[in-house]
Amino acid sequence: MTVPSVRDAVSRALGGVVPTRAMASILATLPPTASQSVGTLDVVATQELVKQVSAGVKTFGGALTLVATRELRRAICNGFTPAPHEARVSVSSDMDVLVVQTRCQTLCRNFFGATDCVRLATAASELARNIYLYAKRGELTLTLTEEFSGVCLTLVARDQGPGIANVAHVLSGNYVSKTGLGRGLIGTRALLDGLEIDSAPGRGTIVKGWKRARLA
Amino acid sequence: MARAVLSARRMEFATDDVPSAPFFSILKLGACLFASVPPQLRDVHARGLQDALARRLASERGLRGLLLDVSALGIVDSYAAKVLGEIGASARSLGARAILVGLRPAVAVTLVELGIDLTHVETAMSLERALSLLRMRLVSEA
Repeated sequence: MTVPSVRDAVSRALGGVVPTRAMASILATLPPTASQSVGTLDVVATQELVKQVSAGVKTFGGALTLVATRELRRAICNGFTPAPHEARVSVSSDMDVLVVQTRCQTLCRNFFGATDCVRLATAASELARNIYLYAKRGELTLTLTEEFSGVCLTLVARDQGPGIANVAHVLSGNYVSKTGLGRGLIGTRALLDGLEIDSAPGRGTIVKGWKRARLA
Repeated sequence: MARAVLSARRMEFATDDVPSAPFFSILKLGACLFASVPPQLRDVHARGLQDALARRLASERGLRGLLLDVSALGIVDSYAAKVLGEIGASARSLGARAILVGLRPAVAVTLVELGIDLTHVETAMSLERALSLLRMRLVSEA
């Protein structure tokens, strides 16, 4: 038994929703990922496809209902949860901080609201800059995971720098540093849903932050 | 005399040895300087902008305002905010009021949540509002 392609799944899901005339042009505008078989696309590719299809339906005067959108997504994913999308950026200069900002914003664009995108990109930028300032080099991982009826973006900053001596004190808000590190981490926590720090002097630092959004 | 001026100019360019430094256009508008901040700034370029503005403010007479167009800035992290604040502070110490024009709403919200207070700079939503803060009026010929 052959596995249907994403294109087949889309045309089946749209059958009866849009007129045949519209169907052909919507299918023609799908990104190249549509030729893969169903269930192989990760969460970002899936969402891009869904956006593209709903934009196509809109140009023909229709609109995908919430149920139809959910149905479409299920068809593209073959009923499974799509694989998480991961982007790694190694940070060793101020240029990389800008790269992190751009990557984070393009990753979030289809999932989060405009203000949340700016919040996330700013938080990612803060974490990347902390790496660059205090550890000189390290790595930032952006992972987008689909959870039930929503997505979660996780930012993990990893470095082998000097580490933070008293994490609890830094996050309590009483800590005042000349360089502004403590304030920066508290501010970053305020921009996200949660922030965890795993660090000790000489052992490097791992900062993990995350934010959730509902899937439209 | 002319040669001295020329060599001084050249010195100025020689110290600016960043390979891909963007060109900042700094325009004069009455008693104001008007500059646009590019969408993304490397650290050195941010410093370069700060220096260029301070130099212009110091070298020209009668300037009492500095209008910074920040509408292109999509993301302002604590470092960028620090640079903006320092531009404001240095403008103030050179006798000019710095006003940020066109800060994006999402950026404003993010800055507040991040706990950053832009104390040294004023903000205005539009260029007209910024000019009226400086008590400058644009006279149009009817």
